[in-house]
Amino acid sequence: MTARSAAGEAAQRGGAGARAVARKLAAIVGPRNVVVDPAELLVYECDGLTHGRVRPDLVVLPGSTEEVAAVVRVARDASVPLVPRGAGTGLSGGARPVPGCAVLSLSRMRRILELDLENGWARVEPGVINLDVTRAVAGAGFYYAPDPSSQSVCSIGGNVAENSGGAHCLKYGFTTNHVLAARVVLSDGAVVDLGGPAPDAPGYDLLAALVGSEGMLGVVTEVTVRLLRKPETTRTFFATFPSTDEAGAAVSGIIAAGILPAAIEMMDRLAIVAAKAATGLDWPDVGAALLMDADGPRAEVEHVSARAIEIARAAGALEIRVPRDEAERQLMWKGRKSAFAAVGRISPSYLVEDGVIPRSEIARVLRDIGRLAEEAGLRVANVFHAGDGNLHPLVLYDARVPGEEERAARLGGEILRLCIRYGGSITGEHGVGAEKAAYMAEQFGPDDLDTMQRVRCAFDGAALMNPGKVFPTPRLCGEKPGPYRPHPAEVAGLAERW
Amino acid sequence: MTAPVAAALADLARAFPAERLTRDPERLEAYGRDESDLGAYPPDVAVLVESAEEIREVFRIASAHRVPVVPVAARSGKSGGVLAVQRGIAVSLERMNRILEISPEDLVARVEPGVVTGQLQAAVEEHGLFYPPDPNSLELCTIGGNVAENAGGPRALKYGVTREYVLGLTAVVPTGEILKVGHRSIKGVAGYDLTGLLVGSEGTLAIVTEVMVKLLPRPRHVSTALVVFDSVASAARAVSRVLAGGVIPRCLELLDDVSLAAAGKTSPFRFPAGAGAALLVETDGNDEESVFAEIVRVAEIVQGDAAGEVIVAQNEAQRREVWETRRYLSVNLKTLHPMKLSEDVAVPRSKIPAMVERAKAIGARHGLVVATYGHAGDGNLHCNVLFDRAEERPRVDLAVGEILRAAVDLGGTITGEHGVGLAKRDFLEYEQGRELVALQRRLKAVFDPLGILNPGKMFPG
Repeated sequence: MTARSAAGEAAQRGGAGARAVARKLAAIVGPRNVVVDPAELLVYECDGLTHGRVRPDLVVLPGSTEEVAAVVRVARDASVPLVPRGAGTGLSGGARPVPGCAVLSLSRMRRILELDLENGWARVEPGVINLDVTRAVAGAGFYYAPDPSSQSVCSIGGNVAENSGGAHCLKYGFTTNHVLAARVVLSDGAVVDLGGPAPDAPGYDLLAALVGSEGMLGVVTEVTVRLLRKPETTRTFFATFPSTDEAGAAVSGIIAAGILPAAIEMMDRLAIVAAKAATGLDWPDVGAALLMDADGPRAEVEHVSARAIEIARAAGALEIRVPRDEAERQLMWKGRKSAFAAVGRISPSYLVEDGVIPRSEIARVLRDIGRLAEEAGLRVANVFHAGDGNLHPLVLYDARVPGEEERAARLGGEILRLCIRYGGSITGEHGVGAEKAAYMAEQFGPDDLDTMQRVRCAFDGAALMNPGKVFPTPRLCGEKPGPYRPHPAEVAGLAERW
Repeated sequence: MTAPVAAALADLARAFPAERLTRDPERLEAYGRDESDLGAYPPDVAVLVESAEEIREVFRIASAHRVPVVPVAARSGKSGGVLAVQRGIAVSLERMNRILEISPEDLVARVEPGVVTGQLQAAVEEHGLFYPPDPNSLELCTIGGNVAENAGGPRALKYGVTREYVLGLTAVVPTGEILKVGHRSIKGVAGYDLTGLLVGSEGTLAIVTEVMVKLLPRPRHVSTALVVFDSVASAARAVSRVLAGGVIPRCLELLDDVSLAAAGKTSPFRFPAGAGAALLVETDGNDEESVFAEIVRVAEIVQGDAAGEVIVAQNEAQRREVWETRRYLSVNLKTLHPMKLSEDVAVPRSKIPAMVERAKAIGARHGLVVATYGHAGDGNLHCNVLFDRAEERPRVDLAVGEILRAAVDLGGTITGEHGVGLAKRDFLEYEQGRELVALQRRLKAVFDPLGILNPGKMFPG
């Protein structure tokens, strides 16, 4: 995007772009914490989704709730769009800048403010790295449950924005199940505390609306997360299968037997090959593998693991491996967690998809994906959270071959449509961001999208918080055929189109 | 009857068959009451709806004539959420009471809002499955009401409240949109979490017509224990010790001395004279030995703080007896004093003794007895103000107000699971402050710009 059209869009919004308020922002956060140098802005042009880069006007790095509130007020008064950013590891372009915007980076706010082990929570700033929460309390036997694969680099604030998951969601839930309270700066600069110590705070569950809202409803400046006691013991096994059909049947059988594994991950042939290439693990060449964790009290875990292994065998497992010690267990998990990056070893480029299907449909959907891949003339590696039906198809392609990138993107889209057809979702944990906005209208009806837009109006009437994300079209009521009919909330002056 | 109501009635009569419209004053009187003891607020008419489209039709008529709409189901709520304070149209969901689907493979059930919670639990148990939320009224209350209030129960300690089990909803908003939000899979983060926002919105944003709930495999074994203490403080200490010991019981129920005195009237257990508190503890799991081992471990942990023996139920009959001690508490309290107002607060676990003490002291100052019991594991306490005559009500209301403020001052909240409704709307701002209440009013306004859905609830008048 050129500077001229950026300024044009900003002007259309009634503002002159973030440059115009650079001095005011510097007065709030200090000149060192406002980045305007084009070379330094380069890293802020995208997040983990690296195509479709946009250069922001500037980056502002506040150090406290008060500074965030002051920055938000300045931006609002000048109609400057704000794009909040945590560690920049998101995979859906949620932190991609928009022309004329100020990126509001929370990376300076990385203090753990308070630990209350008796009541089981930690209060942290949004820039704190996910794994650092667990590191801070592990000595006392506690941990923070949500564990996205990027947990050693992603931030709690980003996790809240995307409602991040991880490998242990089946038993432990997602970020939304582990956030007890949040301090939030609203679009008008007001500071509110959402949630609280009770399981159900009175009034509307604004915290539920906020978690997963991808930085569009407010800026989180403090988060209180639930801490869990480390389970007494964890048992892991790795099982190989001739194909994903048998592996899928094993997953269904295990759940149907009343077992709730802490994690149950599936890899297909291509993913196994990649993981082996990257880690040197001595995994066999097979059609599919499962990696399962059971955790809890020792006797219970022994009982459950033994039963799950029996079921895997009955479903057609070729081989079961139980790690001899913690080091070997960690190695098995390393194989799983490195699978994404490992795909880079067998393909020059790849695209990470993230879709959800009901667990009972895994085998069928994987076959459908195989068929779609064949039609597109591309390879797809599957490594995913089988217990909760969260697929991560990795579409392999070669960007140097003309047209292949577009074909890969199209295949990714077809896979998402498949997820919708099977009653699932276009994203299980990466968010919609900039990447999947176009698919929202396929998963949701216009009534659903309108209502989401109106919720946004209630939080951010001027639509300055992370604009252009999540929603498919820049108008209140989505794309409806026929003449536009104003919504009663618009007539009453409570919401407006944009 | 006002002219708008008359016009709405005429429209309803055209849109619905006569047998689905109730105008009988006696029946309307019943629609105007719940378990809040706030009196009767009958609607002008009750419509027995059967589908989302019919609810949309009611909203259309109500919008045209600016007549209020109130959703009602089992009317077992304790905060007055269904009372028709401005009269109008009650939308009764009692006919929408089908369990549409139970899927053991996907661990979900799809139900209509009028399904009784206990009936859903029984139905899924036949498949070896488990729907954990267990409000005390589970034999009466409905899933729709549970969703509206985000109901909890003793098992919330281990399993969480209703919100954790609602995967998706179909709901009708006052402006006529029919929302289908959430998903059948347990994961899915596309768009704002409207499902989460609607759960606990107390029937003020939309009327829910279908609920997709998450199920768990049913734990095969449960162990139950009852422990007596000489004071609430030592019981609370024991609660902290249990939770710090790494055991997560599925419930940890606290009874104070007044509750124990009442429970003793029918309980098969003899509580020692001067017993100051008791805890009811339950563990569950799939391996019988390890579940029993856990309850024994709990017994060992609490032994030091307990007064006397720890009673571990040895069989299902004894287990039931222990639970009857807790379940009939509310009834037994009425044998001490015929009337009571049950308050529902939550405080940080470490503040439980202080909350019980303050509630007692507030009662004493007003010449009233307060019995406190509740879900100690998550700090959710029910403070019951006992009294004898209706004329005492103003005094009782003063005491209740002070109890609510005390909970907020201790870092807690005015409602742990019953909701704000009509009963506590004047206290919301005390807890949350003006800006947060203003934001919620803005949300209410975008869902319901005409203010026709369940007016007079949740927000200060």
